[in-house]
Amino acid sequence: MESRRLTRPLRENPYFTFLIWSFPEDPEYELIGKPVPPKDSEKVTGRAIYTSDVKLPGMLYAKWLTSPYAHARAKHIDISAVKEIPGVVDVLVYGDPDLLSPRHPEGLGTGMNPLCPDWAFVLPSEAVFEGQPVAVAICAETPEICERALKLVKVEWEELPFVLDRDEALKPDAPITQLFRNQKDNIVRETPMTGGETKYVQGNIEEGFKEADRIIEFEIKCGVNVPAGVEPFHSIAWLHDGYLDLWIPHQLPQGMMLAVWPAAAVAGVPMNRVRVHQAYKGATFGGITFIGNGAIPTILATLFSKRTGRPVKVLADWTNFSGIVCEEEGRYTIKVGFKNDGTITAVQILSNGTYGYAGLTIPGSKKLPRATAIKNIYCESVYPYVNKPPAVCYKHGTQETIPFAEIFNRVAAELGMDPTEVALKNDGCYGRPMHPDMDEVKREQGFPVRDSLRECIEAGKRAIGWDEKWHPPGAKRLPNGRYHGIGFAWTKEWRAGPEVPAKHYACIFFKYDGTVVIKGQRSFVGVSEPTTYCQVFAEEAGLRYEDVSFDNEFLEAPMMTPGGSGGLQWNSAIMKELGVKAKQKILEVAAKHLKKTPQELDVKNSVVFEKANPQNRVQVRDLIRRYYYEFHAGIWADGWDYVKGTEETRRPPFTDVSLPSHFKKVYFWGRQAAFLEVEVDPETGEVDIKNLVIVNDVGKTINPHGVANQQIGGVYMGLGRAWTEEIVYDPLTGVKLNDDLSQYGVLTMGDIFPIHCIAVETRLGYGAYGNFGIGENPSCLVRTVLRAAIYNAIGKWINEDPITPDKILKALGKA
Amino acid sequence: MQDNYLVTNNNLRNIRLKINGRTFEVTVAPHWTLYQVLKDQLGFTSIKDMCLGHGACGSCTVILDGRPVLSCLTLAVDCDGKTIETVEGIDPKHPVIETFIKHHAFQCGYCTPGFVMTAKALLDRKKNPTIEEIIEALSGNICRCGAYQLILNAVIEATERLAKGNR
Ligand code: FES
Ligand code: FES
Repeated sequence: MESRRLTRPLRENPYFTFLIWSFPEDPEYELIGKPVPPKDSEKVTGRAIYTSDVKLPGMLYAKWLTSPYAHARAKHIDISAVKEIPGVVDVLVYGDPDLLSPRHPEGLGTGMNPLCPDWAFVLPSEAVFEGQPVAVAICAETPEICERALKLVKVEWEELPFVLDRDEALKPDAPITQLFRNQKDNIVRETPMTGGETKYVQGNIEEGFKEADRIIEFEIKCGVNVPAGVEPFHSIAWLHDGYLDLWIPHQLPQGMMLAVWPAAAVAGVPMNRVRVHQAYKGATFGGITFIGNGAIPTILATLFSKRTGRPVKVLADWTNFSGIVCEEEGRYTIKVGFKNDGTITAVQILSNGTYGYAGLTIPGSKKLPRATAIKNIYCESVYPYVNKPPAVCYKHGTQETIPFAEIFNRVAAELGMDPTEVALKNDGCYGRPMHPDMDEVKREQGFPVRDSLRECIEAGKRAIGWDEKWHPPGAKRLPNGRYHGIGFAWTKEWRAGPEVPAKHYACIFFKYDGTVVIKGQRSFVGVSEPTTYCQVFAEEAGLRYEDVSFDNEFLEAPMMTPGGSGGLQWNSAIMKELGVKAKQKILEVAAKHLKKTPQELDVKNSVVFEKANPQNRVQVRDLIRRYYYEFHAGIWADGWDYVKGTEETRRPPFTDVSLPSHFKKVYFWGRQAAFLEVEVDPETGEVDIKNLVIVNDVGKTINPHGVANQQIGGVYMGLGRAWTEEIVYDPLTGVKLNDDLSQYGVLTMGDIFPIHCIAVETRLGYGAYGNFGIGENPSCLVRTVLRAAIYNAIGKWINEDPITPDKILKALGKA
Repeated sequence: MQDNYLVTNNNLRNIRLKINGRTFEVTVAPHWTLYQVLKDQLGFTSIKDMCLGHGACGSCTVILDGRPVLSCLTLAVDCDGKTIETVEGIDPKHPVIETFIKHHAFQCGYCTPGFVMTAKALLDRKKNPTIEEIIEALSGNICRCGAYQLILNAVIEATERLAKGNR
């Protein structure tokens, strides 16, 4: 990179070296797709309050003991020294009567229910992974006292045999990794999410392989990644005046209930006496919010608050590195049959691990059939417990891409074909080609007949210069001695709706000063939720963007989360319906005032006017003040009418587990692609990223900055996992060796490389305006595109992530 | 968090800090960090601790006598008589603040005050840095949400505005 002084006018500025945006212009809308000031700008001025920042009068702090062993039981606990420390207010030890639970001998916890995929105990006696909170919790005046006191707790541990490797865990003589479950083996089978689906069969796999001209087999392994979160999952409880006030960091309404429900029971108050506060959250991308472990800080805080009569903040520092491992850890064994023209006839995927709750996302069970023309598919998944934290999705990294991109890239490599051609050839739905079979369905469901994949590929190829740069693997050595490589990856849209079986709501209230507040329960996880929601609502209502705000603490109106993944499809529909209804209300009241019919009026920029005579007008503000009692009741919406698709596809229940015939009516039309150019140094194994083009069919852009942030952010997190991030365990002790931000390998500003963000707008999403959520896709894509680009550079596949220099050197026969 | 139970009166010290233009007198124990004093004792909540005080993330950055420091690794007693800036004290019209907002240079925002302070410290010291110098200055800060491109663009635009005397 050459040095440049920044004195040129902005437009010619070299900062486009690092970021190029390509977003379509759309004159149809005032606000949709337009850059607007962020509604969460207090994050920049330092006024944004996170759960970690909240301090209540007389607040106490609590911390857990965490297990120093991968698998151990606390046999005997001596807390006599702790009690002598000034400032220690309360101590809870495993077996305390307050922790007894009629439901499980390990004591109080979240239990197992359809919302909670696994047991989690507030203070278990058995730790099943290193770093797990276990056996003792201290409540004290300050965090430092908690820490000091914890050091003085004497525990006699019984070390138990442990297993880290998921293949080892499946062997008949493997030690049982989680004794409290009373299982005879380590296979996960009791959770609701794994109960049904561990297999997916489509067509006839034997026939498919017989039809094939060639068959390849390969294996992909993903190492252990963790959230390396920035704000731990702290929780605050304050039981006072007959009410329980909670500050909960949860992302999901369901997760919230997992915490609120047991907390209310512990506090001894009914749920109508619980108030939930939602501060901002630091880097939440799913993860612990989905599992019982995420609820235990709230339950512990409530218990301590009840026992001490003071507000208590539970500091759950362990959640950043020991809360979960990311879902992708594990192994895929893949066999692909294909014809010499690139048509894939059969795919078999066997996986071990790859998702903590394997049934939810068996490789390909949802993805491969739903978005390819491959007729014969066999997927089987097994997920054994090991002595690591539970595996949960945290910005998805793999499942989305392995079934597509890896397969297509391998087939292309075998045949010497351009991988984009192989992708286009096999694109489709449920074994049917995208064209012409699916065109009719698109029309039927009210979608434009557009080809998302082709549009993404064309845009991406142009941006990276694919046609000039793509070459056979290992064929281009640069004058600097490095290998040049270029790769492609694709995936389908990610979606958390409309087949999500839950219902979601929000409501609005007009205020006396003419402003409007949208209320819903929606955690602020960083996708600038208030900005996007206010854009949609204001656009539809005809109100000024600055007159609208979003209040996220209204527990009674749970909105769709996760918001980045695909929740926007839902929430945009809710906002659209709210906007349309608000406009109707405004026009009805204005009709009386202006002595016209509502049809003769319109509202724009918070002014109602007569269409035929725009001078006949009234400010919405004045209307609300004058007719306040007509407005103040509020308006609710669930967004159903603004989700695209046919009636049949939109109405619940859509869950594909229970209604296979229905879910086939909901299609994945949207596609996403990435193109990457690298240089690989054969002497050091270092990879230099020269240019990344990320192309997302967003359906319709609502907040362009939000889209770019999702694209860029996903790239860095996904690439980190594919390239630099990995938790290393000591095989002898099962203890993590690099569990802090200084050693884990998160990419920093120093690793910045040029990214070209392209938003394709096909309007093929089921959300309002045809949008897709793209929170997951970029991170999924980059894992595969890195492998593909390195293969193109050195001519060798590296099948184990992260792709560190030593693996590259080994592949080159140099290590 | 200050720990009044671990110190005795004879090892406490009174220090004076000038924070965002105001003078504070605080009684501190010798092992308390500047982070503990600023955030827990004085309530400057913009300061974050993403790496729990390991010196690895930059989110606790404040400006101490004109230099960016990691407040989690700075002992409060060493700051006696010194001048400190936190993001709460920056004029909301300062180009760094305005450009971070304009470029939406954040997602969750947890790292943002640290980036803002590091950027401001650079631009206070150096009027017209190169992109490389900006990247180098910011490379000690982690953004887990990965908003690097937009952060860089914000700082580049702030640099340009300051270079043109446009504040
Ligand atoms: S808290 Fe991370 S560097 Fe100070
Ligand atoms: S914006 Fe979330 S860590 Fe930077």
